[in-house]
Amino acid sequence: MDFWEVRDLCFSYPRREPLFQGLSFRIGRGDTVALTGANGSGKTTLGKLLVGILKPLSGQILLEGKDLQEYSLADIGARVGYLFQNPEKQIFSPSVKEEIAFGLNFRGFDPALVERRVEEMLDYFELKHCAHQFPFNLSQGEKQRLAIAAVLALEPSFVVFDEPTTGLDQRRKERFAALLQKIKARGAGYILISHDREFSSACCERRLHLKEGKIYGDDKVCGKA
Amino acid sequence: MATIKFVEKLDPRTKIVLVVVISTLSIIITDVLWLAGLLLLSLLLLFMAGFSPASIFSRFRRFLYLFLVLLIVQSIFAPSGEPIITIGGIQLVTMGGLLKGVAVVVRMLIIISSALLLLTAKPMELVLGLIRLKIPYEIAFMVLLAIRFLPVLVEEVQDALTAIQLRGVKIKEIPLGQKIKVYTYIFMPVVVSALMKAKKTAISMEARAFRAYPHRTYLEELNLKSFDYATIAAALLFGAGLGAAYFMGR
Repeated sequence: MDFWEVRDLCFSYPRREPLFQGLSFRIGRGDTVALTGANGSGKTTLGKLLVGILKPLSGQILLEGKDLQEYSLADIGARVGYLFQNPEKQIFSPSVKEEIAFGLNFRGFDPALVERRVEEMLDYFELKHCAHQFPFNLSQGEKQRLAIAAVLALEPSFVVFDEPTTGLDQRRKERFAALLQKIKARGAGYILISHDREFSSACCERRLHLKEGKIYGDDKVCGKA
Repeated sequence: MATIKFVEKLDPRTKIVLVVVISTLSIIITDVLWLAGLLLLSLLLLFMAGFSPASIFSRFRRFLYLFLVLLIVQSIFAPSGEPIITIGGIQLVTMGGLLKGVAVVVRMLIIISSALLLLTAKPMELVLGLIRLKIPYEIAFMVLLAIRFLPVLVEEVQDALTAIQLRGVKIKEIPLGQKIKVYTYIFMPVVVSALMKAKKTAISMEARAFRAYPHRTYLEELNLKSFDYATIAAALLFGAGLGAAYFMGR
């Protein structure tokens, strides 16, 4: 079964020209997809539509065979992780450690497992030195790593990353690419919304190219990070 | 439409006077019927300014819960007159209390609808208007910043709420204690972000020589025209007349 099926999607922001008119595509469970396109082509908007932050004007988005409108945001969040383009938009806890543990704690995971997973994430994303710091005081790269860690701690079946490599240096980009391989290895899929064509082509097996509100290219790419 | 052009052409100071007169009347008048009349007048002004009934209603709808809370609180805590709902000998809702609640809601509607008139002026024109009304530039500019940043703050609350729900937290279904905790999580980033924005804005303004010289010049100038004087005079006369008529008729 497809993880997402988008049928005749139409969307426009209020008092603006239509962004999508009759967009249709499918994404399978475990797919690794690079979503590319120029500025303003609608990559971020499409990502937000796929996780229910924005609602289509017409058409349908099916998530695991069920209309997205039938899910609450929390139901979608239990299946799909979403990394905002600006990490500050999704950081809300008073400490780095609490930010990573937030979803796990509220979803009733065992405290020992929460502690272990948080430690793993702090370690992998090199955030141990600031575990008790106030997240808003971190550098841009650290905030980006924290936002990714907080999303991945929940081990979602699919992740939508919106410009995940912004603010990451070359070494951390490579570590992030290795992490994407791990996500793929455990059977989860991801969509990489990125301007970094080289990085996204290396990390994904499929590339959807958006142009003028349509998918202009649906290609297979190498996907070897 | 000639009426829209008329309202558009008004100087921002004239619009400020209109809003002040209507809002002041809504505060000094307590009778529901008088308030209803004043609400009709402010709605008429909004139609003349080109607002459609749907756009006015959608703006009112955002305050629906606030109106309901005000109505309930007023009708419970200001009891008078005939009881309508009595539980265990305690008068929960009375006719007088309910009327007071309705009066408070109508007063809020008048203030909101009259303030909407200011939306027909550009933010910078409003600042110029305030300056011409002898408000210090720093304070007038703060008003502009508040107008500019209010939608940003609303968006940030929405983003935090979305981010929390996308971590799989069902806000509607969690117990009250946890719900309160979640709401503290929402307001923390909003307050922090407001403080950070204020700091960055201050640096950006000072980098562009804000308050470097005691006197400022402005690219655009405001001039009161004859219909502005006529509108201001009519608004002040109307305000004084209605206020006097209300107090003499009591």
